[in-house]
Amino acid sequence: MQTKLELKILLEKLISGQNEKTKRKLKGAELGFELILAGVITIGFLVVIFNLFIGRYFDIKTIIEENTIDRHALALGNLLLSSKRLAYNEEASSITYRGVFEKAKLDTQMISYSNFLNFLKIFDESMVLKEISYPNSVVAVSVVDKETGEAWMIFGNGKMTIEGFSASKYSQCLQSKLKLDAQTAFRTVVNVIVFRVSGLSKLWDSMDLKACQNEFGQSQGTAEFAFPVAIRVSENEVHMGVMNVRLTEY
Amino acid sequence: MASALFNVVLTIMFTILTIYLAMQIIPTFAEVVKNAVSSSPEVVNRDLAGLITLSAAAPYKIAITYNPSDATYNIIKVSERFVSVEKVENEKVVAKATPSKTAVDLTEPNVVLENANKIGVENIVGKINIRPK
Repeated sequence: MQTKLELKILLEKLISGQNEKTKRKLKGAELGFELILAGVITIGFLVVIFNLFIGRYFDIKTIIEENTIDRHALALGNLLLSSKRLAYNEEASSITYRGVFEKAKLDTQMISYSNFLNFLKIFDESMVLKEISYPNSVVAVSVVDKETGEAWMIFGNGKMTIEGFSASKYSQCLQSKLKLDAQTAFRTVVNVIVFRVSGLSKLWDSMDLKACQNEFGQSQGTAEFAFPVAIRVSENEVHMGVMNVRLTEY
Repeated sequence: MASALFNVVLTIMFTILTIYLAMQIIPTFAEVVKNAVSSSPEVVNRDLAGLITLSAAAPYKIAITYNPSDATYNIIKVSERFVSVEKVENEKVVAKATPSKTAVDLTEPNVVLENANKIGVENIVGKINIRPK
């Protein structure tokens, strides 16, 4: 009997002990929830106080992540499409036809690949790029007539304000690395006349061109985009073409 | 039992109050952020430089009105194809931005607009100007 009683007491003690533990657990949970609630309310009040009293003294800094060079290259291409120096302009109405280039203007304003001696214009300042170019940038523009393969190009730089930059340095660098030996000249002429392909780039080694670009210092980046254009050859003849714009910013 | 019920009611009341406060704050805060972004000198700078550049792509005439914020005033300087914007509050410059580039020149070489709020960008047959509106 005694053992039975002892066992009963022991069991009761155990149950009561468990109940106390459960109660303690619940008490802990209640405390935690109250604390969380108090924390949330405190944060809420802090936000209100910050917004009402302190927030007005701070200026929020905005940083827009976008590729500036891509945006500039696209804008530059759009400007060239409507440039009066390249686009067809109807004299009677003085309307400029955006995206319709006139072959005669391309011949005068750009360097024609089909005229070997025309490449000497590469060292002249381009009026097109003088009017349309971003400061501290180097631009190369090429126009290709997709029906005949005829091509034109210009390259130059915008106004340079970066320290230590010399506008003539690039040009001088290119001149010093120009390959004017008889073999290269012959190959270039043959390429242009017989195969109707550009031989102009063969006048420089690609490594030399890169070395000249490095004369400017480290660029911020380069972007290149192609734009569809029409090339008005004569009154009754319009060809399809493409304009490539390559922009490097410093 | 009564205290437990009181706790529950209190919790519900606090929750409702917090949600109500949050609902009051969030739209105000969103509006503040929106205004701060649209009237930030960096944004005005880039927008204006882009608008000047792209106005030159119009083959005949174009007139653009740019109003970043009704409440914000700026000092805008355009010189040598660089646009710089300074935000003004109570006649004091409170924020400046790094100049942005344009690809074309304005008809006038150096343009300064003081306390500009609404800005007009015009290209009339190749003559590009900006002016307060």
